[in-house]
Amino acid sequence: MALDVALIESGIKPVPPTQEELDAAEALQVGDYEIFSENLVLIAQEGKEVMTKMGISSMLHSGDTMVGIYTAAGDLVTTVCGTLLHSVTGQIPIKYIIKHFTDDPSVGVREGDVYYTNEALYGGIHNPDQFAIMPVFVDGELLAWVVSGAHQSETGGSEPGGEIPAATTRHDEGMKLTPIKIGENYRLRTDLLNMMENFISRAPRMQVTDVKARVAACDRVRQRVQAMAARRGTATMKGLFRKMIQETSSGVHQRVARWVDGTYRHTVFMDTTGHEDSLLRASVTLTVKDGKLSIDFEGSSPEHEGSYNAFASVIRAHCAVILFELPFNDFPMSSGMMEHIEIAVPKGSFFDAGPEAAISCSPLVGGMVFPLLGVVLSKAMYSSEQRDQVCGYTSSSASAVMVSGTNQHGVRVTDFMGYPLNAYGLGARCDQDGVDVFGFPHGPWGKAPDVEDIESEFPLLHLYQRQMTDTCGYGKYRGGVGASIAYIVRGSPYVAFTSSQKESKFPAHNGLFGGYSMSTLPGIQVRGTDALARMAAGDPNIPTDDYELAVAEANKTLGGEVIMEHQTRGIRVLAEGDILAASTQGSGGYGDVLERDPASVAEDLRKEVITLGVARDVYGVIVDPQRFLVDEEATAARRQEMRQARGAKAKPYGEWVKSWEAKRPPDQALKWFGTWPDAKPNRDVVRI
Amino acid sequence: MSKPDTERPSLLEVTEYLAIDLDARRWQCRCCGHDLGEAASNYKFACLVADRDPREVHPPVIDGPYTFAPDPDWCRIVEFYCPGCLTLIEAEYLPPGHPVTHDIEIDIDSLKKKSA
Repeated sequence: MALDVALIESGIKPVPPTQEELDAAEALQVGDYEIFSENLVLIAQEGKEVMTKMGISSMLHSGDTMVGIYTAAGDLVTTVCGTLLHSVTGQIPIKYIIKHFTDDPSVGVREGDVYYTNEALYGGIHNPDQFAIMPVFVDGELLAWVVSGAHQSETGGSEPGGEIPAATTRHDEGMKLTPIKIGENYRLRTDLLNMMENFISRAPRMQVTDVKARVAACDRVRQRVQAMAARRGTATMKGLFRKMIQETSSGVHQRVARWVDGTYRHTVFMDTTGHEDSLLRASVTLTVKDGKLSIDFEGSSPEHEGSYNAFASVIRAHCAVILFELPFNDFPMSSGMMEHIEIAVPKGSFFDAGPEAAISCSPLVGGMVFPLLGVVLSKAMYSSEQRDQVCGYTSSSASAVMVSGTNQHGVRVTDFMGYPLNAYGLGARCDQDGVDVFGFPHGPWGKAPDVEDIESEFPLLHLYQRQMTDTCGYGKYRGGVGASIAYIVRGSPYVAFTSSQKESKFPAHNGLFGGYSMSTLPGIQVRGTDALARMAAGDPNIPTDDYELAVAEANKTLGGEVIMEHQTRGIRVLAEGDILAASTQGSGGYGDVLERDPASVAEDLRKEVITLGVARDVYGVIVDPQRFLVDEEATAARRQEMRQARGAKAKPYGEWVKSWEAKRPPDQALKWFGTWPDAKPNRDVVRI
Repeated sequence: MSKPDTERPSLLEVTEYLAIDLDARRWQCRCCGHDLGEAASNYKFACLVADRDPREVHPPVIDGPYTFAPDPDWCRIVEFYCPGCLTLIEAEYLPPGHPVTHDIEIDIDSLKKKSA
């Protein structure tokens, strides 16, 4: 296998500019950059619209997409998302093609070529993420590249759905295409489309249609860039590309130079390997020094034989998501950002596993970067003029359930449920609460499909879909809540599902500055139910959220058996009438709960964001549950009592730590952790 | 304990509840001014500390291994309070016995150099 490790490691950083590019950037006239850079964004936007409208997978609509424009050398100039993951990783296959195929007469790089790839080993995320790549030639000269990417919810793996929790090695994960040429002279090759269809036989219609949607997006952008170059001249285009990279680079450098230099650390814990419940540690050290950032994930647990591993390129790309969305959201989304940022990922950790590892669930691993970087960046920014961007961001779960089967129209379908994917809470900030059911942690530009769209395409009926009480992190400002979502199988004798959500035993978030984490969520199935009959009869006692669903068997509000399990689940098959919950986490709170405005607590109670017990026992606020009025006197007394209780229970650190250090989690929790407590490798990984 | 003078230029606001007196190079509570040790050290060592069962904050709904609350055998909430005013300065969700995080080390020399 022709792995180019050096290129993968350096591929998201811009290559040194040519003198011609620097001169062209210098020669731009007043207004050229400001106007034409927006033109490029609009062109990419048009490409993304083409892909979304032509494609049929729900993931093309629900956010896991991008269209980007890149320099002739493969550096990101601008992108429209979707998710920034793919914009960043899109650079690596371009650079691979340039380096390895340009002078290879059996492949070559020519006008009208179309390349395609979904192999994470070549710098991507995981093989559900598929990319079309086209060069843009003007007068025989290579001017630019275009990449369109989107998550494809079926890969032909050992189980349906692309993300395969049961996978043990790469060999369980289906189609993995290294960069290959699938079209020449602006024509796609039927034989290669047939090959893909053959790999993806659980959802062949989706695969071929969505390949064409990606390619159409690239080609639309290619045409627009060529037209713009014809009008403005290639020199202006090269100068514009370089200027967009320079602006981001200098902006990042100047902004970080105004942060307080220092070292910021955070640690979170994952509660599954994908195969079984166990703790894995994820650690980060952020160093701010002289206008540069260094991000080091040393201290993260070793790789393992489960499915929740990633490659370093995945972790770097997740860093880029947070960096573009929090501190640098107002700069052009170009590769210039990475000029002043170094990212170290320890080899042999579950953040950079060996090439044979199962990685199809790697976004769940990369998702650990969200709370990690969200917290350390917040601590680095608090003392800067960017305090208003301090935010713990989101849960690390960042996924959904996948459903596969034959729909009510007799068509085979396999897809992620796009609403849960876009329904995570956003963390609290220094001056306001987080956002309830805000969106997709990998990119805030997603769109949750309508209930009616899902019910017309899939053999599913929504039992409920609503904001979920008590899922936010509490604090002076609370995090956003997640969503309580459940489906009933209807219109098909069975469907299969998998789930790569997590955080059922341990929340991978801490909140900020004394704020609490969000709650954990179990996976729930109900089998052998009479739910459809009860709904038809207008039964008013049918469960309306996960809490009621969890006790439905005990309370006899549904027939059948309630199964409580971890949210990460390999393949499960449900019969018509069975129920599947696919709920989403809220996010972390900010600051001391005893500082929250009592009126805000009462409002949370009125809006069913929290329950009465949380108002009283966590916030220390006494509220009339009928009128939602605060008893000020009782609240002051309750809070004083709680504050004194802290002093009575707590101990000086030196005294407390003696008893703390004697504690240890159960053996099962440490089975895949590495050495305790420093998470060093303590065994050989076996992959067959 | 008196409130700190937040307008003092030598006082760097580091978090919602923590500041560093750059002249004295020491942590202090932003709510009450309580001294929290040398800035080069971990302020948590100067705090009052308690580890809590996570079910006190995240109430379980059912019994069993998956209850809507973190598993108390796997996860504890470690809370750090200011000894002066008992404000909850920081909270960590840690496996029982796991070392606490030295989360912030400010480069005071660099800051002073920039300010000069």
